[in-house]
Amino acid sequence: MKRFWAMVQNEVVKIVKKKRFYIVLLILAVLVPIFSYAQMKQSLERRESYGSDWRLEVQQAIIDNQNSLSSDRVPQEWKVYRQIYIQQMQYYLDHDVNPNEPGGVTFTREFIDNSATLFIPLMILTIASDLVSSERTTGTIKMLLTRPVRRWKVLLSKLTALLMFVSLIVASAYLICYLISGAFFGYSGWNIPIFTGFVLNGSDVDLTYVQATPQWQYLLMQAGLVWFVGVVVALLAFMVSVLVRSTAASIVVMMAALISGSILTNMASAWTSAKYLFMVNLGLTEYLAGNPAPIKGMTLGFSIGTLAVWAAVSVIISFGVFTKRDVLT
Amino acid sequence: MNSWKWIWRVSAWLSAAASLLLIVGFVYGAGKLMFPKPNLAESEASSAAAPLTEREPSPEDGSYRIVAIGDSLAKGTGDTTGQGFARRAAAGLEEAGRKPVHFLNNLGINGMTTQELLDELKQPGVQYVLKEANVILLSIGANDLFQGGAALQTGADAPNTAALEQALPGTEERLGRALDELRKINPTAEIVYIGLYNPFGDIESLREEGDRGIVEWNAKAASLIVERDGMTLTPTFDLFQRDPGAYLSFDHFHPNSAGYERIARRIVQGME
Repeated sequence: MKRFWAMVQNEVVKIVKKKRFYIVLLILAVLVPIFSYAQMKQSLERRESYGSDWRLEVQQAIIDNQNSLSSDRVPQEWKVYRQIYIQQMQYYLDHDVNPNEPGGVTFTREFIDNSATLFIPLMILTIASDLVSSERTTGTIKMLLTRPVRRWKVLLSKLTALLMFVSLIVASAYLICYLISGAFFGYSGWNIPIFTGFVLNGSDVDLTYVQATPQWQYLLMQAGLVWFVGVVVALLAFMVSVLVRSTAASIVVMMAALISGSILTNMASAWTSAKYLFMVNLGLTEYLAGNPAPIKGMTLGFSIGTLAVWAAVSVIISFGVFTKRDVLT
Repeated sequence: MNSWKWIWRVSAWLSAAASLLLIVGFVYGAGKLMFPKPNLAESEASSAAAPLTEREPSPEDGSYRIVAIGDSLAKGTGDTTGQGFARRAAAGLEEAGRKPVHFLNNLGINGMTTQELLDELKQPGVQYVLKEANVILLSIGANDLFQGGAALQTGADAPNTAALEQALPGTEERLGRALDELRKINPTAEIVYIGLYNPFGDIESLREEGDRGIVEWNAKAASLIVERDGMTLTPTFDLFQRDPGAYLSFDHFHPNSAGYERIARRIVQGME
């Protein structure tokens, strides 16, 4: 056991030494101020047209969406989204709660919501995608495997290190986002109520389960869901990294999958069996926010189950291939 | 070599703590979403009174605070700039320069009928906006009388005298209720009702029937307005009488930008 942790330590040090994690932190530290600044500009502009009263703004948003419902040019699926949006906004407004209360915590929540399916998985890929393939590109894999250690232990130590970094990436995304956006919007907002539990029946929103959740609790749940998505993406990328010889190819494969997922979800496809693909199920935080699922029949339980199956299969393949395969060159 | 030991220790502890927190969040979040509990207290409370309705309106600050409510005319459908008479009237008042002008909201919804207006007035958010205003521009009724301008485009259901006569009394009654409701929501605001013009003025075959109905409606609306305090009717009938083609938009129903501008000027004049 002690020997195993020494191997994990070795892997962690290798990841740190490759400076991939620093790059992730750096990307966040560069991007978050940019988005914060854009958001600040936007809210200043809004303030100009609506004064300081957010209620007028929300009411106008409701009316604008109602107007678009009567237009024949708006596709039916969008109408469903808008009907749901209207009812949720109405609920916030009736309860005199600002759905977009500015603040560092709210910004963090929205930033993570927007980056949960693509941006954070990409950050994870920077570490996951070359974990095994880089050993093969550089040829160090032979040294690794000539040690008197079982092959599955070598792979497991790499996997453990990877999962550690998934947690670190998700946690540091929150931390960096909060620290930087707080400088723009202030560090308050932990206790703002966020409504969760909008149950959707077609275009109708069932309000019986709606509860006011303090924002810190919302963030905790959101982080948990993002972490789960991150773990699944990491395991899949890990498998690809075992299967594919070159690091570049391994990154491209995973990126193509992720991007195709975001395209597929935007198509809100009539192709219902697409819901079994892992990449359309990455938007777990959407369920928390009460947004409709991209494909009919998808629920949180379904998505978690689908992702879990994909993850399990990829772990089995990773270990199966890695322990059996001949290492040449 | 020692520094690597430290890196390992720090990252191991941090990631252990982070993982624990994230797993707790995941289990808690997934559990809460998959097995939601009905919020009984909340559903009872919300049917009684929404917290928003208890909010006091902002104090009078000596400015025009304008809200438009009603149908597509209030919204400004047909105006290529999207301003409609509401924003144009606000701009006109601003130009006149007597008081500062704040345009709060345009609550106009395409195709709104008097019945829909009555429902809309029950919304706490709408009530809140109306309470904030001291000038309310109202345009309603055309959709009741003509069953929407859409009928014209399809050609299926051109207005006929019989249908119009039938729609009149009910619409009048509902307009009266809507005006009372508005007054109840905001006891002090100046309410400006925009009279109807004949939207079929540029279609020869429909012109006469339309004229007769509109005149009758405007007279009924005027008497409702006169009975109540702080309300005015801004006539628009004459604006579109001589050359309707010049002031109606492509759909032959809504005014175009120039048409809205003329209505807006009337509103400004009426408020001076």
